[in-house]
Amino acid sequence: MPEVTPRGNVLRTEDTGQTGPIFLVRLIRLRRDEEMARPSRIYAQVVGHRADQEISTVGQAELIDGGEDLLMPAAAWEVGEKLLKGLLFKDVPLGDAGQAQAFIDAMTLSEASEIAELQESPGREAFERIRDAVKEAFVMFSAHDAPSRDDLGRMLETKLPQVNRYFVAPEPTAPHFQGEPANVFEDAPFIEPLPKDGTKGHLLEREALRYGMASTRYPNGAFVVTDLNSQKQLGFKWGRSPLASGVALSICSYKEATRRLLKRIDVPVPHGRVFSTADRDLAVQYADRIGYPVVCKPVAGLRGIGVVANIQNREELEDALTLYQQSQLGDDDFVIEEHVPGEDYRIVVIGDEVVASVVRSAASVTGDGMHTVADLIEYKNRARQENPHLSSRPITLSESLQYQLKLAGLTFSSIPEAGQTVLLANSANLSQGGDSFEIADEMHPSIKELAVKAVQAVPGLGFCGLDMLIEDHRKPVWEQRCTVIELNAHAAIGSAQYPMWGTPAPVAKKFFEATAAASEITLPEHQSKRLTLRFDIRGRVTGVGYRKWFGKRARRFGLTGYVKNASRKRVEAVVSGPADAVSALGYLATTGTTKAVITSVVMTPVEDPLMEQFQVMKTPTLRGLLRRVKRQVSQLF
Amino acid sequence: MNSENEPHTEVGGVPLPTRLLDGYQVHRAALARDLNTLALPRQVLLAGTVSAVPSELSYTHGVPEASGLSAVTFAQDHRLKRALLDRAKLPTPTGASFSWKSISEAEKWAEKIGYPVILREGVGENPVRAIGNITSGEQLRAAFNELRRRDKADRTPGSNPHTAGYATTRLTFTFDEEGNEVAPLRSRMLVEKQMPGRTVRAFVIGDELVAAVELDTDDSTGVRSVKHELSAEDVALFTQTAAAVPGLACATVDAVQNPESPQQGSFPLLITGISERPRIETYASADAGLGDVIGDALLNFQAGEAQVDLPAAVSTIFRRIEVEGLRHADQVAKELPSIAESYGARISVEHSDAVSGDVVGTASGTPEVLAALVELLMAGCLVDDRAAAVNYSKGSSVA
Repeated sequence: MPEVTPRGNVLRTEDTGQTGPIFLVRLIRLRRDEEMARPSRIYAQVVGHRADQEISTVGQAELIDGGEDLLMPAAAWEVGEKLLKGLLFKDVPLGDAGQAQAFIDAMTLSEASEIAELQESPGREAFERIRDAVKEAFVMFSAHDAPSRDDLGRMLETKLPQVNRYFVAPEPTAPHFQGEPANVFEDAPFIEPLPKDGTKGHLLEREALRYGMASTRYPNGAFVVTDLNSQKQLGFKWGRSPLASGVALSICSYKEATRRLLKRIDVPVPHGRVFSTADRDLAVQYADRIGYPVVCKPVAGLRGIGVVANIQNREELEDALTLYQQSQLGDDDFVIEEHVPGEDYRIVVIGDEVVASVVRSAASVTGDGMHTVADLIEYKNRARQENPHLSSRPITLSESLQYQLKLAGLTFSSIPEAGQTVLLANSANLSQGGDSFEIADEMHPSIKELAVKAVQAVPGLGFCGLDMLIEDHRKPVWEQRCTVIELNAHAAIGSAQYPMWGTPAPVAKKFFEATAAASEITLPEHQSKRLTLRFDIRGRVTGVGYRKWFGKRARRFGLTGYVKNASRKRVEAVVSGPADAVSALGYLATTGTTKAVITSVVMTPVEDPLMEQFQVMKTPTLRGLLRRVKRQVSQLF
Repeated sequence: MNSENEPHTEVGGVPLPTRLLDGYQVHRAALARDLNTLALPRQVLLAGTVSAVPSELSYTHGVPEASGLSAVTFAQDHRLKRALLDRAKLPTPTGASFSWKSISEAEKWAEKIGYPVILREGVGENPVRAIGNITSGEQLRAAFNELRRRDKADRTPGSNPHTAGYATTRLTFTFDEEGNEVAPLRSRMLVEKQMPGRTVRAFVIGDELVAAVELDTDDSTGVRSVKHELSAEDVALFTQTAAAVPGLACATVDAVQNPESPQQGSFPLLITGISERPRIETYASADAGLGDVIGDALLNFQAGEAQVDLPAAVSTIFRRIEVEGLRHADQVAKELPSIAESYGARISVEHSDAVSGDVVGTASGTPEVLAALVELLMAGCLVDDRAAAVNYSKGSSVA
């Protein structure tokens, strides 16, 4: 797509030089409003210039036919996008409604082959609704008295969370950081369909399979890998591994325990303690002693309720305590804690080595002078979709996001200036849409030493994702504040293995190698890039469409091999292809169709049967067998 | 003293809620071997010959450091345990799992295998919550309804004192028709054929069976020690069962006699449960001495794993005591000496700081009493306050 840049009041494509009046189009689908019993709606918007005035018109249509809701197949939506995009920078008829309608009809005809490809119903009907909305918007745009107000933007201020399809052209440019585009990961398509709570475990299992080990997967993200030489077994569930102890998790998942422990070995932690609401005076004395600024928060936090940060002095603390006591959690015990400066880092420690370090920043978008905040959020989320770790952690249109926008004097329909960074959250949390940057190579060795010291204080913690606030990761610890906030005993693999920017660290590989070494398992020198595995799938797997389901996914992943029924409660498959795809299919195999109940899937390395495609083998039926015997007997006589 | 209506036992003359017994026993055993200790919330105990931090030995709820995180997680997933036992070809009662959505199928299944059946929770603390002696579809449905109830305190480990510190969070829930908070519809429970006869519970550490007791009819207390009655095959079955969960250093294993076995009158057995927690209370109720036996075994085992030479046993100890994170340190400083004295121990407070919440002093007495006092103080059962850490050190708490 040609790059589009603002040029005064008129936009021009750099390579074509077209200067039609329409410079921006949007297509939006609002989901059905169950409460108000309103059907799903399509909105088409056309934005352009008429006589030095910016015009914005909106057409709309309901996705309903004869009282029945219409489905919106992807193909129909795509043709709709194409139709609308066709208006950009084109010489279009203005001032005559008839000509404008004819123009759209002619454009529709030019897309005729694609429209014909749409299924008769409901794809065709859904497309017709989009066309109606586009036509309405365009006819209004071409009229002499076209409105200049942004009705769509106004509507989206309240309805944006109800949008389930969004398209704007020209698209905002993909997010960049210091001139670098976001990282692209080859395994993303294979990780995307997996159950979201089990990705960490899958990454570890994939490493085991690449090392030639067998794996038995159970429901709920549990699996046991077996070294076929020593027959030693290693169990995993989600990111819970043998490389941490139960003791380690008991400590790490309770911040007060972590803090008390680390303080004893002089690892800097935020000073803080718990008070009951009756001990308000004591809390003030405590804050005076540890020094301001401080944070006041409930002992068991919930969505930031009752949290007051950066309290600068005794008077502000008194106010904060009054506010706290008036909050929903005002009867609960509260914590007074030192307010610590610095950026938010996740440092991954395995044994005595820092293997990765990711600095996290709060969710944000960068303006381009043309797109709205809503456009920028939508397309930032699309970029996050390409990242295996961030795809399930989009920027969500929460109340706190709207509050952040309000603080900056912005709304969803505001158009930030080119280069303007718009903060969308107040904490650097990847789950709330934050960005990640891998910087381990730049980190000062003294910070790495501090991280290792903290992790080694926790018994049985062979792997840890340590959260630290650091003012400048290039400086030594003695020249700044570095404060350990939290230790995570279960795998924090994804953020460092799939950073949005910076060199990805092979955390899962190192993690698995350390786990194997701790159990004295000798691994082969090299891992396989391709795998051929035999799957032994047990449970309610016959008569429930399981093989067909399995075959469809194997083909979608580009794998070869076969699947067949082995007995009433067993299906067997041999699958060959790239390790990323084969191992992902192994995890998917534990899910199956809605009627299937899978109890286990055993994956064992076997010889490649060298098949050219993936085949779903038919189960021999009694009738088929009889027919074959009859045929053979008749041939004999 | 906290007067909750929960079961108590007595250790060294100190009343102790039975739920604290696992953590107490390793604490007592560590002090009896003259170690330095640091107690943290969730019955975390760090111990060492020179100092408690960095630790040489550690436990949570009596579970040793050698039990890996995935192993203790596996042990709390009862469906998974059955699958592991099946794969290891170890005998279990006939059973299958069902969700609330498939409750009708569960009823058909129970009819098929024959009543009585027992319904067990799919995931949760050990010994698993269960309702037995179910003899009809109606009772099965009612039992399902009861076991799917959730308490808000169960959502995160730490809120409920009966939930292990390493337990998985149970954030998702839904509501039943009466507005009660219940497990999501897809949560599965196990319907198992209920075997007649009493359960035998055995504690296994490494490849050694340390203790075995017969439980009473409701499986809640041990009634007599039966270790000497077990055959070599029975012992092997218990140790193999513990080994079927990869990475589990110790386990309490439940088994019942298989009525269909040709060898009537003795075992073989069917395995009905594996717990990562020792659950010493059931052994100690059968034979008071078994508590110490298991506590010592846990200490010796982890010392062996960590290659630590334990000092000689002592009967009384003298320690510096540091209590941290109290809400009302001055009040606790006033009460502690007299409470200790009432149990034959001595605590002298040197300093208390109401602002920081710390109390510092010295303590002397038997390992039993000093361990019990700290476990109670950490659990909020000794005084009207709860400590965030208690350190017993011969010298400095840190090497």
